[in-house]
Amino acid sequence: MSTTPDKQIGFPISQSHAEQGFGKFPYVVIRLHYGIYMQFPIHFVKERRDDLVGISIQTESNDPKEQQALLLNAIAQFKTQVDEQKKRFHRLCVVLDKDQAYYWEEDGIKFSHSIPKGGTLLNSQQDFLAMGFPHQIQTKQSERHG
Amino acid sequence: MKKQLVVRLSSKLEVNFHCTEVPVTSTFLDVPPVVSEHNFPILLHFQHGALVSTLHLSQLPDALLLHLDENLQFQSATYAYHQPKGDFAVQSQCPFVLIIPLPIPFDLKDIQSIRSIANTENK
Repeated sequence: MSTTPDKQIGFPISQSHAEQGFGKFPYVVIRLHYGIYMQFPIHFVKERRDDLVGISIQTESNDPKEQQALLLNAIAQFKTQVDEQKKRFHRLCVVLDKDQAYYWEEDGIKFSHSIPKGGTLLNSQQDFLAMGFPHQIQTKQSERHG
Repeated sequence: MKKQLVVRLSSKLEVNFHCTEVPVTSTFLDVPPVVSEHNFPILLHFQHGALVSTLHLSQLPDALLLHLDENLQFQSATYAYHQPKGDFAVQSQCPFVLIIPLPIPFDLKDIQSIRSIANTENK
């Protein structure tokens, strides 16, 4: 939706939301409706922490490769909880990079180079995170958890 | 030719890769141009009949190579990380090599089986 820098429509993820982990790879996106998405940051933690927003995955490892290897199982558990809570199948994906995502479809998990972008992005409290902008924070180097 | 490979994990999750199958008739393959042409994921199918294939990987974007036997069963893997310069090659004795981009969100030791569903499209 953005046009030229001085005629931008919408807004990107704010610094305060970025500090909570939003917009940093990897993250989970649920498609709520056409053009409306909800993002959950993913945190790799050594011990349980209740102060973090999003999905926490407990691991002793500091190795990003080992941390990322835990993603599918952890997100599958998360999806089961969300589906059971709302009693419906949610279209969900885990976004690993600016051109890599794994989508949960009815018939399995599918790798894609396309990631969700634009539209209206909310957090789980249904606060606006971004509108008409990429779902990741824009840095010279892609910021990544883990 | 497009082929859909399904990686079944020990957790029963199944991950689908819609990949391009690339027949290879030479024992030496310069992989980065193949990736540039077809993009990930790619299934290399070695058809030269020799025992060993050499895969030249210099300047390949970060990727994981899964070496698969004639039944597409997982035999071994190669991580190709950060190699913008210099020569880097690996050899494989497998007839199939599936190349997928890193990072990957599952553990290699959780791979239970790999199967091909059907050719979904001709290029």
